[in-house]
Amino acid sequence: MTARLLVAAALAVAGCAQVPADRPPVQAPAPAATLPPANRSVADAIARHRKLADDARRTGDLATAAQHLQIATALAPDDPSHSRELAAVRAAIDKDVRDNVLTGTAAMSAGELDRANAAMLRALALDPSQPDAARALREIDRRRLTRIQADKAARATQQGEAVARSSSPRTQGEVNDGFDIDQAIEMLKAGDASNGLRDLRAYVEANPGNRAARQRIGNAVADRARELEDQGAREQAATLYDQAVSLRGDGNAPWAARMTSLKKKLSLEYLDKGTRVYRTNLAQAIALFETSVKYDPSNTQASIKLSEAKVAREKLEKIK
Amino acid sequence: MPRNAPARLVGAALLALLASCATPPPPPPEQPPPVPPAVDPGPVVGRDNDYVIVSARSGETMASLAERYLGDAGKAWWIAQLNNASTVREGQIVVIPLRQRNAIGVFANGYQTVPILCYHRFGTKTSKLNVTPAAFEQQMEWLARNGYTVVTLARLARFLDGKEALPAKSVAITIDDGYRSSYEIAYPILRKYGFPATVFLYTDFVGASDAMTWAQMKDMTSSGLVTIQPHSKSHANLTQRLPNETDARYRDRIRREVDAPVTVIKERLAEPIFAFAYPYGDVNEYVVDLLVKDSVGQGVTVTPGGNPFYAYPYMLRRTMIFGNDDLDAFKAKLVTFVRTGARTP
Repeated sequence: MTARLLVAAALAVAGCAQVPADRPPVQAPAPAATLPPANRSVADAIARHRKLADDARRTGDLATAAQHLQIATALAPDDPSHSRELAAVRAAIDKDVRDNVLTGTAAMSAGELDRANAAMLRALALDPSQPDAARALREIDRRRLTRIQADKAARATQQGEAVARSSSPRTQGEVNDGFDIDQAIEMLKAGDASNGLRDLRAYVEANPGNRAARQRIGNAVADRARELEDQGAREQAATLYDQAVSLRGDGNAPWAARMTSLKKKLSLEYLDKGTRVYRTNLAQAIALFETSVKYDPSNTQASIKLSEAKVAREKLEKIK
Repeated sequence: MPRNAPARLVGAALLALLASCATPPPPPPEQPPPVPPAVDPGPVVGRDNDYVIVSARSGETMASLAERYLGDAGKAWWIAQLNNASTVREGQIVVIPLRQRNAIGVFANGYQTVPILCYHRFGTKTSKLNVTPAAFEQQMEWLARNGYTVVTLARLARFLDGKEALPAKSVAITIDDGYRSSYEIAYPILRKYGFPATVFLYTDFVGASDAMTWAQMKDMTSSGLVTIQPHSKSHANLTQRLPNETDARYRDRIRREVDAPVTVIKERLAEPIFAFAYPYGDVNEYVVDLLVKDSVGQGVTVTPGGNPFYAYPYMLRRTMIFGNDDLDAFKAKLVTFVRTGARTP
């Protein structure tokens, strides 16, 4: 232990000896070997950004070239070559922006919106802050979208007028993409029957000859009616079944038997209610018999009771 | 004498030797000039008005660089996009843009667009407008895993104004009508991924069996993730006149369709109103005028496609997501860049 400490002491003393003044300084190795990692990366980064600038310039992408030259300049501010080239690229950008805005403006005046659009995009790719090009593109988009909406409205109007002019059935190909139907059906299913039916009715009126769409609409309304019937809302269900028949527009509804059965049941119930109040409230009995007949016109007992009740009311009025 | 006494003596001698060879301290300097506080200039290797260029230190991330140099870790994507990299390694030269010079997303080879996805209803029933919970979860997961940023319509508005750049793959999510499934199915999934969304409500619907309640809507808006915006009063097509409807009556009716939900949503939910979804996506100049008067700055249609910075804010395009869209169909609808040239940004 003591011996080791003595050796250490000797080394320490040796270590603090002064280097002779006449000894030549240590030769600096080649730069690549001596640069610390960050500096080596800086050199690499400058080269990389110069290359990216050159590549971009070759493809005509002056904005990207300027960006990489600016970064190279920031990395090597003492090297004038980067800033010189950056100035040249920026001058070229200014010129191209002016040219493209002029081209775009002329195209817009001539009504050539595609050409104007392309020129203004080129201007903005070079200078994203160019206000005239941005304004022009916004105006072009406004015009295009307004046209799309106007065309849609015109098609809807034409469809309506065609329906009004002629009752001839329309072909299935004339339907729209089905979105309107889907939307309205969803509204109906979600419990918004009045708005859903309003839109389905509007669709059917505009496309009366579209058998496939009408069948789909009728079946969807009938599905909702069946749901309501299962929930016990039988009168609402009966109303919707009627709408389903009308919207479907043919006599082949697969749910017709279920609808008929429900209506017969409702008719019998109203007949029973009317019979019970017949002796105490004639007016109410008449209303109930009428409802019974409405649900099932073939319910002869209800028809007879309704006639009897009306005759009885006339007699009472005469007595009064 | 203790056993280690010789070692102590040698140690003391060693210390004395070392002390004797130390250079005497230099005289204190005269009053030094004031210097700015040190800010760890080490990693900065270049700087100008637009960029600061650093040599990344160990453990550095895009977010930590954004936090330090831009004051907002959320701007990490600025750095990632400019350097075309998502991670940083020690010693790497990283260029940090101090401002967004191209907030509009127009490049030599094309331009950025922001799709607004349009959903309606969620559930297991088979229907075009009904997206299953599994499909919605799969779509959201795909967005999260593939580097998409879901932005609010308010952020989109700033992009359209040229005031805020958006990440390259940005999308917005909207849900129409106000179905209860928006709350019960979509909202938990949106919350899981932290995705914001806008629900467009037609106010007559509230109270229907499958509609959200005001309490459910309040729950969503108070999370800060969802905003409720108007979708008309009764979902009537705002461009179509009723049979034999006069111009004056049409205008009165449409004014109610626009104004009523704006008022009701403001009152019920204290939501600022800034966007309106046209029923069936149909709109005309009269409706736009009404929105302008109500200071509503955005209107969304169902014209498909993405929205470039120059999109007309009163007729924004929206892309419908249907119940029969599989994941490939969904992906195909996410157009976030329209090519016009040969180079990639």
